[in-house]
Amino acid sequence: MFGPSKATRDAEFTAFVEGAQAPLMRMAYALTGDPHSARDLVQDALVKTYTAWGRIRTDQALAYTRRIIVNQRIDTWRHTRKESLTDQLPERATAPGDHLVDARDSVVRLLATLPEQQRKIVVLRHYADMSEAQVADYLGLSLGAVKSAASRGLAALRTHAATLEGGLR
Amino acid sequence: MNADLDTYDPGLDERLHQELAHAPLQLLDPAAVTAAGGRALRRQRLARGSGALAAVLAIGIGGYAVSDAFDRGATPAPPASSSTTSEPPTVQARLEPFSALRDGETVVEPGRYARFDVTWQPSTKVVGFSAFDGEGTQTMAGQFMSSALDAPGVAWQTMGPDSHVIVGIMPAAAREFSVVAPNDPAGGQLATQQVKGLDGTPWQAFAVFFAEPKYAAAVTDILWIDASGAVHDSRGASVPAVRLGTDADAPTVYMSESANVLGIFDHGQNGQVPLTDGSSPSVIAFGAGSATEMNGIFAMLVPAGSTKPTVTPNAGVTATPARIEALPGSDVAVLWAQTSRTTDEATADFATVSWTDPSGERTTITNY
Repeated sequence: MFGPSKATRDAEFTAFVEGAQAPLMRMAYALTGDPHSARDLVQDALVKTYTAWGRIRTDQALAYTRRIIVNQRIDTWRHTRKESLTDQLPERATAPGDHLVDARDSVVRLLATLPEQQRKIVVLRHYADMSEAQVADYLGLSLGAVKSAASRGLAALRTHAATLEGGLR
Repeated sequence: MNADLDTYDPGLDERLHQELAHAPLQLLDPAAVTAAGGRALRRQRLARGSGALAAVLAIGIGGYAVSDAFDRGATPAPPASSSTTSEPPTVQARLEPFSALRDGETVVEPGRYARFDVTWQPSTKVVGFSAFDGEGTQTMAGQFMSSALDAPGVAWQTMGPDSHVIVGIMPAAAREFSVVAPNDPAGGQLATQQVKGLDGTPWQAFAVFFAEPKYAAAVTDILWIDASGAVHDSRGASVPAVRLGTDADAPTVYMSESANVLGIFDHGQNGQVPLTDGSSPSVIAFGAGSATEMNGIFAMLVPAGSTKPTVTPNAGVTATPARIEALPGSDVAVLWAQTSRTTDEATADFATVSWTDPSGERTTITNY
């Protein structure tokens, strides 16, 4: 049995990207706190999804790509104390108008202060609307570990938010 | 307090959805993503077949120029098809356009070197290249021979004395590569790279765009790693290397005496440091994470046969127990540990690093 032609595969995948990239990008933005990093993260995940396109069902592609995003190492800035050469650097551009975002991204900026694991759990619980059990399965953690990290993450957010007008609620 | 509110906050849920509904998304070009996926798939397939391809390689790679045809816009690229029936056809790869390099307020545009077409003629071993600006206008063309070496290596050419770019070919088996150039005392070179397979050949085209032109002209070597984790230099010679741990995704540390660097390949997070003169150990340390939690690798060269490694982390740093891995093909080994920093203080990872060398002498160094 032969799979779909490359043209068919590419057309299917392009249509998938058109529909899925905005929700994926929003989640990546919540995870990274930076639109440029979010774009890179999503693009990388989509490329990996393409390479697996023949093995995944179309209706599973969004979940598949989301899982790749969540399971990637999110934070990629590097400790360069003793490093002298880098041959592949992420762009760290500040796009025109980025400063306008500051007033409306307070939760995303608060999230960025959390350790990566806690941030992933908070985002999966509060943006992807997953249950604790689903998050545990997603990240390969015990339910207790998810509860503990979620609790610590929320406590940290509330502490930081207390300094902002209105807090979280 | 309700136990559920310890782990779930409806207010946060609502605020997060509101913010993300208006997030400053940088949407992708779906067709470009699909094309990138196609290239990734092709690279995977080429990598799987690279062992067989390498066995029949008889191509020498070198870097001497036979033509410096750098007259802008005048010289056409080598033809994309053969001119005689006896020659195998010339193969062409079109590299993705470079985007601007940004470092803080500094922006370096690729200008007339925005995109490259690279050709490879199997019978003559001539690499041809054409440069185009962002508007697609050809700005330069040239070619160079790549038959000086007899192992699967890397051949490259700078694009003139003030160019920010090198362009060349390397084995298709190269999963990642790292460019060696004299070090900037300020630390780090800002650069980006593009790679694309030369279909039907065991080669791939590449180009590197540096923020500063001095580095393009100063490149002394290009080190690359294949899918098996083996590291090679630009002459195709094996470079002593070891994977740190048993995980297939674990980083690989290498030491190239000819290139005079200690380096690491870690799935796009690659770096190098110059080897020291022996008065102090060569060390490479880097991490990825946020200001509040950064996980990294610390690797130091010690005499081969050393044992009993220990590290004492500084405040705000935790580490796995130190280990020593032999570096096959060399007279040194790698003392390493995984680190996790929860401080943004510019302190060393370790207050002390100790090991026992083969003679039984215990050595301790501080603040590494």
